[in-house]
Amino acid sequence: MTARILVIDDEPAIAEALRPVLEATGFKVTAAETAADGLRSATENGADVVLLDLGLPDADGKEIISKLRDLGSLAVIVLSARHQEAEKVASLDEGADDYVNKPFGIEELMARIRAAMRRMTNAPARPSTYEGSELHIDFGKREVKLLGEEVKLSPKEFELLRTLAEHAGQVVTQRRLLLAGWGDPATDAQYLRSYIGLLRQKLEFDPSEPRIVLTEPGVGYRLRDSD
Amino acid sequence: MTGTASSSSWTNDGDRACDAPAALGRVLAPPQPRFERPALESAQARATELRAIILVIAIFGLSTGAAFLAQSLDRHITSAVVYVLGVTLIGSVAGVRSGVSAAVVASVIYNFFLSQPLFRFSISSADEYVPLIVFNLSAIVSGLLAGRLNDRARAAEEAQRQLALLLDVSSRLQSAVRVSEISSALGDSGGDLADKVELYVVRDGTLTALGSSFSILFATQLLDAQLPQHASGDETAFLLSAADEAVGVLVLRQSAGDQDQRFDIEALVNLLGIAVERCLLLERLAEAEAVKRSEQFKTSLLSSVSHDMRTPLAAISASASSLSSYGDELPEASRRDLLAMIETQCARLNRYTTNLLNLGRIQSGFDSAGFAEIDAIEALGAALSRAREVGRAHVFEKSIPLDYALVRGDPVMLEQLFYNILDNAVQYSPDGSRIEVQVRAAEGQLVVTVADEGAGVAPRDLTRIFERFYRGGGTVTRDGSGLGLAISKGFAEAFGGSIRAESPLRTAGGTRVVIDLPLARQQHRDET
Repeated sequence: MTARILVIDDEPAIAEALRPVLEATGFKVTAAETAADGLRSATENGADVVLLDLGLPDADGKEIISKLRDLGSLAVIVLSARHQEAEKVASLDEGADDYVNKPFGIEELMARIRAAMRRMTNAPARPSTYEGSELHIDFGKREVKLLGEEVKLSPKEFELLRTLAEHAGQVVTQRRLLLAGWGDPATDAQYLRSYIGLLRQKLEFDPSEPRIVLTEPGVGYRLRDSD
Repeated sequence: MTGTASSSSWTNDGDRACDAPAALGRVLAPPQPRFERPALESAQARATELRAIILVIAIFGLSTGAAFLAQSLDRHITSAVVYVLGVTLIGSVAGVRSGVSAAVVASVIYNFFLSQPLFRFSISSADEYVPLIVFNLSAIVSGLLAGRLNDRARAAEEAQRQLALLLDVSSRLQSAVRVSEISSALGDSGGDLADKVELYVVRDGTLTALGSSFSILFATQLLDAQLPQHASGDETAFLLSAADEAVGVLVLRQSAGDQDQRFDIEALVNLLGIAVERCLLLERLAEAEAVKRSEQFKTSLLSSVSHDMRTPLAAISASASSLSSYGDELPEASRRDLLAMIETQCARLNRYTTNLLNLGRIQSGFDSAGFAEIDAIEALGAALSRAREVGRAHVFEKSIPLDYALVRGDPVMLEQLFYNILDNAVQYSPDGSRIEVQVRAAEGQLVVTVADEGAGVAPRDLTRIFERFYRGGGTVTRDGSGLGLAISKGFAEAFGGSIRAESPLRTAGGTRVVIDLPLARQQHRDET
């Protein structure tokens, strides 16, 4: 089945610029310029991935994220400006799967779309392993291998890595990581930064320039997509 | 300058013996710092006094003559009564001092010339004592009583006049909202008052002069010493304060001699203190408001930049990366579409950047010295041909009966002014609709109107559409930044003109933008 992408942006230029590549890579593209039109289109035509601009003329994009999620299994990727960290976190809290900073390159967007769709298809059953290009994780055995060599992780480090790997390629908010590692989202984020530091010491070639556990400034962390 | 209060002209009630009525005024009204009346009014006052003096002399002469006549006819009692009547009249007309003086002079004359023996201050018989004493007493008492009555009336009149003057100044001061209006309020109400006072207000702890500042050192000394009042030579400085805080200084210059009509300075100082405080508070409020507006402006500028620059950038970035990453896999038509998209969005970015730069020029103000006489018809033509590019689906109808119309301005700015209006008409009206452009010259103004057949503008938004970042609603493509009309307005005003919108033009909507520009010269088509 052809995957359907709905672009909700008050600027028709965005949908028009994305259409050629999305269609060439096998997506069916629909565009809407208002929140109301977007919701209607998603309800009537269905969508697998929604690319949502937050600055819509009739409503704040955030307000329709949960309504879109209620429609069933679809991924919401927010198209946002770089300086709006609070907006991004709020969108993710509302149930958005990911975000892309405007302006973005098509490759970055395609990677986000792939990650979101992969997670959607995996979602029903928790995966038992993670296979990245360098990283291999066996969730059942709690075993982590980097380029074939086993890496010893503390229980907390493993929980953090598991959460990141379950959303590989997607951003995971600090709040979600704190919940996974400490059971309380109000925990001091400094603990999280320390443990991410420890993880990088064990996984990264150069921890000061991470290539696997990436920082999303002001929002959270992202495990680099395996592709 | 000395630190002691010297006898300044208005605190010293200097005696002018010849000026009996005014001098008498001081007997009843305690000396007070006063403000002299304007020159015109004091001239009138002097004329009134002269008339009073002539009247006093006339009455005195008449009654003396009548007394002599009665005496010569051997009517002694009539003679005395006539004299007493004269003294009473003088008292009632000219006040206590004149009345008493007249009584004394009358007594001397009566004693010396009229009562027996003549030409001597002696009494020949005991019978002469009684009439003489009675006469003297009657003359003095009646002069005194009549005079006091007159003085009371005068004092009441003077008090009322001062009250009216104070009320006048007070109402003028109360209507002042800017500090600069306070000095003009003083000038309006006191004739030459404005020339005699200097007003200073306290801003950020230091004194600022409103108008001339000859005595700023004197005023600063007073402020530093926090004295309520300080005089030196013909200058006196008063501290203006409100709510126990010094808000300003009033310096009064007065030469000796202008005394007759005065004004209660204490009341004036109090009023000024309150007015200055209020105006300073309003000033601070306005500053806070301006800062707030500037912050709001920056916020909306940032969000505008964020939206209006990132959107075309996002489209360009997505198109360019699509071409570089997937170029080979895309059909030829898609590749052309993406390239066209990049071009369109670059043009849009360029337009937006130009608008932002223009906005910056408006914000920082223009140097009109750089303006020259330029042909508005030519600028309009250039703008029209540019507008036809964006409004290919629109029908432009123009009525331009002038060959040229010279206005003072900048050619690039003027073309941009017209273009923004035309572009706006295109953006906010449907394809295929008409855009009418009309030009006429009337009363030294060049009037350019641009009317569209769009949805129109709600009456409450007719002025708001010229505000920065205002973007109308509606279903038409909104690819504007909300800056175009604001820039046109800024440019029109820089050229000394104005701009306004009218809507609806008919029941179905429509908007007409009217641009007025001051005309330097024009040439009608049919006059060639």
